[in-house]
Amino acid sequence: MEQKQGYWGWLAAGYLFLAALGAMIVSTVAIMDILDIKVVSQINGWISLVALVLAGVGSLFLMVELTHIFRAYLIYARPSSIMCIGSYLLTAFLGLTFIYATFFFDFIPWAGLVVIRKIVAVLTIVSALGLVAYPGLELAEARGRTFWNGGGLVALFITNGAATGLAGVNIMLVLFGLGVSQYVMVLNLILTITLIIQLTMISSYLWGIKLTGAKEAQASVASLVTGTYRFKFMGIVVSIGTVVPLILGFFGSLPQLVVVAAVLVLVGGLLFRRVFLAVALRIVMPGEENQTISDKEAAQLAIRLEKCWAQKAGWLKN
Amino acid sequence: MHWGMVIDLRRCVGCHACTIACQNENNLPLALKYCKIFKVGPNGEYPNLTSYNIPIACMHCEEAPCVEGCPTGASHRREDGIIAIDADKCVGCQFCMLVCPYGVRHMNKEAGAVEKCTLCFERLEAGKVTRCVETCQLKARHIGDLDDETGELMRLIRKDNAQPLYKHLGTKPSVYYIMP
Repeated sequence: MEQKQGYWGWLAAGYLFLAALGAMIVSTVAIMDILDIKVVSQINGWISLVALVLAGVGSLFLMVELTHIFRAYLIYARPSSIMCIGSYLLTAFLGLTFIYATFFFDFIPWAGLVVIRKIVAVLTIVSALGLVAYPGLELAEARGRTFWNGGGLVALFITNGAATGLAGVNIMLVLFGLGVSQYVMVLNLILTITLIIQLTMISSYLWGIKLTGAKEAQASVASLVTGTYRFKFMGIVVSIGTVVPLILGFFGSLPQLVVVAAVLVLVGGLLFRRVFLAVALRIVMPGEENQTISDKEAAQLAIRLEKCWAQKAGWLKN
Repeated sequence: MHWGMVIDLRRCVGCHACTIACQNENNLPLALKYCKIFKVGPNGEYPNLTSYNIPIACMHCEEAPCVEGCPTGASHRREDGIIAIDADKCVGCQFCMLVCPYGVRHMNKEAGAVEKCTLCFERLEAGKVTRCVETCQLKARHIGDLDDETGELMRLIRKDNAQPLYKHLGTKPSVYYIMP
């Protein structure tokens, strides 16, 4: 039986985290733009560019994980594949975010076209939501990894993405010198509510699997709650990444507290994706748990055998 | 034409000859196996014990998650039902390995492409049987056309109520097992 999902590791988790972070940062500021909140003209251009860089770095992580980087263009080749749809969404998001950012720089000729900017903002939000949601659908395609087959996975990814996006915007508002402002206060309140929703959703998701899930999915939950991933999940994702920022949120919106809470949410968000990727165990084949020889032992045996055969070949020659 | 296989678990003694023959046919390193044999049991209590061996390789599913998920089209289903991989199109994203419920795909790190059982399609095209079928001394493996209602394979499936592994996953495997 697998001890963990060993194909997609930190790079994939990093991509999922950064793409969701970038997407939800832009979504947050684009929603502020649609709602005609005045501060947007001051911050949206730069924040959108930061989000673009974050998602861009995430996509580089994805590229690095491929064995044939120069064939990466082929991932656009099969539109019926969810991974291909994800590539389209990522490309659309990067393009739209760049276009959206350009509306906020005076030297750009179309900077004053507010209506078009808002249309682009809506399109960017749509692509961003798609980008945050599709990994949930992608992972759900693994029929043999029932931990990912829960109906709430997409919502969980969106909620966590929203929390990290709000945290990202909060950090940038403080960096822009807007730490003591009504914007941070409101966003901090929304972040606190999002964290409550996230906590509820994580609990429901795991509880649902524990009660009704397959044997492997239940083993995955046990691994998160009491097993191998207990420290990363219960300690960092749940406690440090959700509960602590939630408590800090109730203490008001002092800039220092806001930044600390936001950083904790970001750390929790990264670890959330990492452990949710790693913990999904594949359905066990009959007798697979009886495998007495591990891959490492088989490799060692193979090396020993090949050495013996080489010796034998040498002996026969002589 | 839809190539399929029936494996009679009443006959399989777990000699691993099919595994070795497959490695030989595909020139695989010793640690890499397209076909693994798992020993199930012994289950029950003495003297009522049961134990059997089960060979697991690519199931060549009709609704293969690896094919549905492959973003490049490298994993594809041939007209004869065999799931094949075009190594020139594989980018090594490993999504197929992630979604395969049977865990039968392997990454060839040298080639940077995913590999698995090909159901020896070159041999089948040449009118031969697969190497594992040819090698099995106890005649536990049978290959044939699942579309041929009157053929040997369908007769075996009907007669012995052969079932695919983990049918509930909905992947419609082309490999059937006669349970002991």
